[in-house]
Amino acid sequence: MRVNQQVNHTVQFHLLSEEQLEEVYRAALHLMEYTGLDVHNAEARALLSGVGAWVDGVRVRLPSSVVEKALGSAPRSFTVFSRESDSSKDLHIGPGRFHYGPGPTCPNFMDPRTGEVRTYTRADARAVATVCDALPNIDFVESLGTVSDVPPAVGDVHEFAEMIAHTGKPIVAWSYAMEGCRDIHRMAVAVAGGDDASVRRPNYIFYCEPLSPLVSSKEAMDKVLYCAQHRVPLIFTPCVIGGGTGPSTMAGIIAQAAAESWLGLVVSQQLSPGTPFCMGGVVSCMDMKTMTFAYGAPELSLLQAGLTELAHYVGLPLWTTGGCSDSKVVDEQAAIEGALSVLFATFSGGDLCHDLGYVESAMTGSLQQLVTMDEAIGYVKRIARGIEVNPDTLAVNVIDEVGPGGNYLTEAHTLAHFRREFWLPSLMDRQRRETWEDRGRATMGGRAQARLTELLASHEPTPLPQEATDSIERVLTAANARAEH
Amino acid sequence: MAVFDDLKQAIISGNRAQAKELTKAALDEGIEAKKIVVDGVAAAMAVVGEKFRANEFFVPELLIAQRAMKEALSLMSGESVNHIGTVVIGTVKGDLHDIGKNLVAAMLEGAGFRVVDLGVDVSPEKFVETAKAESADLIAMSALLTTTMGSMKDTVATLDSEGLKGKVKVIVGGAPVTQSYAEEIKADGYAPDAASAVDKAKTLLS
Amino acid sequence: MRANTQSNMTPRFRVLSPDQIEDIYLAALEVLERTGTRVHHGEAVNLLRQAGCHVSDGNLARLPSALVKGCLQSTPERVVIAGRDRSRKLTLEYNKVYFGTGSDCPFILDPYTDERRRYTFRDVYHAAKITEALPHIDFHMSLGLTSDVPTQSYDRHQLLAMLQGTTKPLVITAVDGEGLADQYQMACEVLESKEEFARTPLFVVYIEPSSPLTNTKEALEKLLYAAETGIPAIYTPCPMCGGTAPATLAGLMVQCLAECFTGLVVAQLKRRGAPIIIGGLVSIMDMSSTIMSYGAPEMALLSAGMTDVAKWLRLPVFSTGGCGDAKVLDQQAAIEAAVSIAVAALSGANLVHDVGYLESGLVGSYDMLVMSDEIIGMVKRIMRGIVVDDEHLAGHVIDKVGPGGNFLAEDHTLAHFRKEFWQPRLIDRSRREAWEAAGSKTLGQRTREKVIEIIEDFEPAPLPAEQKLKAICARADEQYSKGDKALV
Repeated sequence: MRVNQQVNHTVQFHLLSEEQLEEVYRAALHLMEYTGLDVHNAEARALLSGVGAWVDGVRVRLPSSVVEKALGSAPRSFTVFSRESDSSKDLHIGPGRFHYGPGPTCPNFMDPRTGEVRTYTRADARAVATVCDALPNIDFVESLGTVSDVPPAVGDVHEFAEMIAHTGKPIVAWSYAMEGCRDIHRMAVAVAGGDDASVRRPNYIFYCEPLSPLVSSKEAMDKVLYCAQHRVPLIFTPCVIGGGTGPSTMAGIIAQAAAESWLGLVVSQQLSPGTPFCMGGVVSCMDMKTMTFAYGAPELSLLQAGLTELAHYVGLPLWTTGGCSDSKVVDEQAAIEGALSVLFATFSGGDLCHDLGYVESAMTGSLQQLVTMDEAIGYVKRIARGIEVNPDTLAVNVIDEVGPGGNYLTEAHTLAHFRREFWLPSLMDRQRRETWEDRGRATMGGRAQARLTELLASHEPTPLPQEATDSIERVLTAANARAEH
Repeated sequence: MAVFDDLKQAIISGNRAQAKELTKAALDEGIEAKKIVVDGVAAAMAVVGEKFRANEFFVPELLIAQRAMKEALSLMSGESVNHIGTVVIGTVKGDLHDIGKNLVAAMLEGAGFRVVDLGVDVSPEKFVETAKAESADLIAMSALLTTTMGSMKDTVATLDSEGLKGKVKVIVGGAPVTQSYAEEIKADGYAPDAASAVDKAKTLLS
Repeated sequence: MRANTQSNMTPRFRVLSPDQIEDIYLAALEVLERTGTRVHHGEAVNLLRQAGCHVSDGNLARLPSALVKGCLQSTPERVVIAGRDRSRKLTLEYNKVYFGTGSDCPFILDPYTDERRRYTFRDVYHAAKITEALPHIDFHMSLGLTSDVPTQSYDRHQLLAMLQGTTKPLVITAVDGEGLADQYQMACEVLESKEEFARTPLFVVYIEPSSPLTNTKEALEKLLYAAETGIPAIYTPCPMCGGTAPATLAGLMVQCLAECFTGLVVAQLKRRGAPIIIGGLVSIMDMSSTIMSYGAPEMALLSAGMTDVAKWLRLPVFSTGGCGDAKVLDQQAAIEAAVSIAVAALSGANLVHDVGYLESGLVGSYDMLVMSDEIIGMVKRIMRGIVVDDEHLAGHVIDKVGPGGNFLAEDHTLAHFRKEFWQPRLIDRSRREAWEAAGSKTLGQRTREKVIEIIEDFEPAPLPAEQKLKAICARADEQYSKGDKALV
């Protein structure tokens, strides 16, 4: 019997020390207290003023005690429930747990059959939801596009309607304006079975964004207020472009992002203390040659890990970013950039990692990239799981039995352990060259496409109950009518 | 027949002891050895092969099934158990790597060959002498190092000088070995891995 | 100025806790004491016997733990090497990370025709040139196995090709003790003195025992020569889970460590203080294809685990990354390279080798090498971490710019962006129109162009003493490869 043992159950990764995190935290509070933020929403300003903020026109400054109070009331853990009775699709957010999903609102979409880059339709929303529902390592759903074959003002509502009918995994929703936000909520409530059910067992997450640097628009605040009022789990996620809409130094980017996100936190917690809240968001550098926001940059991995650690330091889950690329095509660059950001999101434990499937710096959504990243997640998770060390795995007796010059192929120990110790690839190929040639010399891109085609053809998501479908139909009809005026 | 179901299951799950027991029981009952081989053992190995192709079984499961099969066959006399042929196998002189060679040996046995495994560091003379002594149909050689590959050529030459070329076939393999190298040294065949080695061996002996 | 602050200057990563490392280390000692190891070399057996090992069956040696511990004490914790360019030293010590290629792949994918064929002397020379031209490759191993020279003396020719192509430090292989001796002589010719080699060796020799627990005559011959001569030696196995090592990762590590320790002990007994580098090429047997997998996540994980152990033992460590099972450069190769490079860097391994390997070590790929160099650049940026101080928190700048402003023209931005942001060379971030105008190339295509550019346009520094080196090659051919035909 061994005593006094401390083991690593997973690999250990730390970017910033406690004191560095404390310093970044204080810097964010300082920004909120002395620089302040512009809040273009009278109701929100009134709320903040009531809780002790100093308001001058649209400029709001929050004393750190106000922010600290809000941090104290937001939950570190909560659950978002699948609409199916299959509880394995529930999203349990909390310390040590991490999840993955695609991203929304790409202007273009890569055709899932031909690879051609084109506009995105309702049918694509259905396809994306179906594929997400089927992929083993994808936990939540976003659309990878912007629906264009419906009246523009209601694209958000149609997207949600299509997706919720074709997946049991929780959706992270967004909307153009308040009407869409309300419609989406109506649909989600119908699926949940009523307002009360929706509050006690929320079935979707809503996300909206401040504007960097340090600005919150009227619509964004309206959405925050609405979500708090209805206790919809909320993500308030900044998108700071280092060198453009934020400083060019990593630490400053993180501090600014935190300040922007926590404005949404304070408003939501003040209105409805305990509303589940996710800090966010998407932080990277501006490429100073091409002026693109670099989704594939190593700085993204670094910044996201730093932001994750800060979120956990103050007791919040983080909406993080990974699996995305600046490449125009789903090539080796897309694989490198996606894999590295997935790796660091996993190691730092970013609670909800989104934008998997983004290519062309978020201009194009790609299911081919998503399928590839699903494999990368499995790969990375095996590493994160670490090495199990116990008398059985140390195998000293087995080594002795096999002896110098022997082999382990038929050992009972081998049979007992190899399936758990070894990750089984689905898309990665380990065949000898001759076999690979005989089977058609497929590259991973080819295999990913084949997998995608197969999933689209064969996967059947659990349908919605008729009642929910009818309710959703009613919401859509009303939305369309509204759009016509 | 029920006894075959159990025997098949014992082989498929790699249970050596049970495979042997059930085979003995069947023989004691008076069931013809040939029938046991075809309806019990071969049928089981066909299932194992299918599962391996479907990625349900992997190499360890394959190997223990083959081991159980061997146990079962050991109880039955020579005439009813037809070997496809006899193979003399080894890693060439100067080379101690044998994991690949061991896999090939195991798979050849599983496919119904009688395998004489000479181990590692085997000289050309030893290959040829043993082939003669065992009336082998095939010599199988493995090498991992380019500095030892040359020994394969010497084995072929020795075989030739003994007048056995053509009577005893030669198949080669190992990381640095290629089809064109095999042709260059006038070996009869090359295989990149254990599974294709079995196929190649069968083809050569047919 | 702040009081009482502790900062992470880089990300920090570990696989194993100290207690887990103890478990593995103590189990390795148990294996050496109880199971023992085969030692196929008379002098090595005698050294072990005289030092108190129990030797049975002629060459089965059991090593007492106290002997191993004593030898660990005397093994240097740092090794400094440098190539022809004596100014670029590599210090192999705690947490210093260097990347390099791998050695002796039989096949190349021809950069002009994509044909898979055997490596020639010229190909090996080009490989060295590519290493020389790449900013993030620190040391060089041959990448290819020279096949158009006599087989039994190929290693001397191979060293010549490497020396012609690169001034960076080398890790070499050798046919046997004689091969190592000849290459040592060649290196001393280049450095013009044995003292210079002794002070800062030009190369490290890579020696591989056989798993499980077997030490071949050639391996020990090379080890003894290296120990005596002061050539740093990597004495590391290539065990694979489920095949030549236990199927459990921890079990493989126990066996691997025991195998390294055997070489370390023999070397210390030959000459106390001989530099030894431990580690291994550690991975799984893929249970479907039976290959040793270079691209499995377990490879990266095991390598990082072995590095944790080596660091705890205060020994320099040989690790692996930038390689894969993909048959060609595609997304699989990209993921395999990116993840293994990142994990190797995070683990703090000293010599991360096999950058450029495809097809599970059968192909030494120029494309994979050049693409991996770009990845290493990205990973290095991440490893530089985040600086947290007032200047970098930039509170004063954010305040000045204010809500709704922008930072593009700020002095602060200008002052910092070059250092904060990594500059891509092969990675493309241009807008679609510009990318299409430039030919709609994938990373693979841009990589290939870079490969060709280096082969055709890059000129390494000329090699002095070339004639003397050729003479040593010719002498070896005459002595060991008489009548021997090359493979190609």
